[in-house]
Amino acid sequence: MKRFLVVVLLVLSIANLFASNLEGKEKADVSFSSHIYGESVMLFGYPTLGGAWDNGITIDSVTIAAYIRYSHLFRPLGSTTGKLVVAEELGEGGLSFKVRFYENGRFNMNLGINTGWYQQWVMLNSTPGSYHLIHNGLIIRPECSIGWRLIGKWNVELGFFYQSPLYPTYDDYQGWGIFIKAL
Amino acid sequence: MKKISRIFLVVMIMVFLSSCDQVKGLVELAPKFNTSLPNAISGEYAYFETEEDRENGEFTRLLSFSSSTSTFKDTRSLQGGIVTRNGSYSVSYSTYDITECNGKIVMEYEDGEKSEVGFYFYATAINGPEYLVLSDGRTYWYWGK
Repeated sequence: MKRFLVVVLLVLSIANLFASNLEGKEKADVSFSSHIYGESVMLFGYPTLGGAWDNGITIDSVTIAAYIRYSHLFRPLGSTTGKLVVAEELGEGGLSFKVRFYENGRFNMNLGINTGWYQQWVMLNSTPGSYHLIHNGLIIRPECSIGWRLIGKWNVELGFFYQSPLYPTYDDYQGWGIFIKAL
Repeated sequence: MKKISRIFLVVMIMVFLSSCDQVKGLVELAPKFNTSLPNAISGEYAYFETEEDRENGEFTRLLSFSSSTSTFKDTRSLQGGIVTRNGSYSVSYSTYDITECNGKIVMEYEDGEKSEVGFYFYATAINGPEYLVLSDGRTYWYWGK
């Protein structure tokens, strides 16, 4: 069911990319954009805390950007005993595609998809002070958000996403999350 | 001229800070990042003949693997007493996950003897390492760090 939802959101995002209405516009509005996000995703049944930074280009309602992302897991592998794993961090870098499919005054709605390379860094109880790379691979993250344009092009967004490692699969890193785009 | 002076000042401060012992100490505290798999079997594992021996802590054989020095101790409880042999070891994995993995352990004793055994390791995130099953069919229970 979760993979079906991922595919549906993916198709909707791609469909919107080709639905941009350029009638009456003589020139595309092109600008470079850079954003900072705060986010939390449910992994092993508990929320993480992290953020992301992207840098890219916005053409009218479409934004294509490169991003880096980090999340700290307060419960490594879902446990706080620390008897096996004392720390776990999630790192990621990739590309994001976002489309603003609805806009009414200052209010707007966006659909997007991120795809990148995630890395699971783990510090074992037996090797303190040293993180080891365990699971890593291709991850996909469709997302949906609502935004409010504050001043000029400054758009604050609140959204949710679902992340799923695609190859190789790693079920423990599948989960729903929320994000806030502040800047 | 002012710009050049500022740049020179920043460079001098950076040189001074980089040679400062306290800064070096802070750098050493920073965690290290390795792309190699961690040593899953690090620790002590004990084999007991009976469940009663296990409850009493009377092991028949105790294997201690150190991840920092790649050395091991093989302690056997014999009729004549306790016999300990030391050596170095290496681990290779066939499959690896943090809580479950298997592969081969190659142990080279100080007297030149070499032993190659297959292993299966099991752990849980809550309890930590649980046991090690070697290709001799014996289950070695986790006995400590």
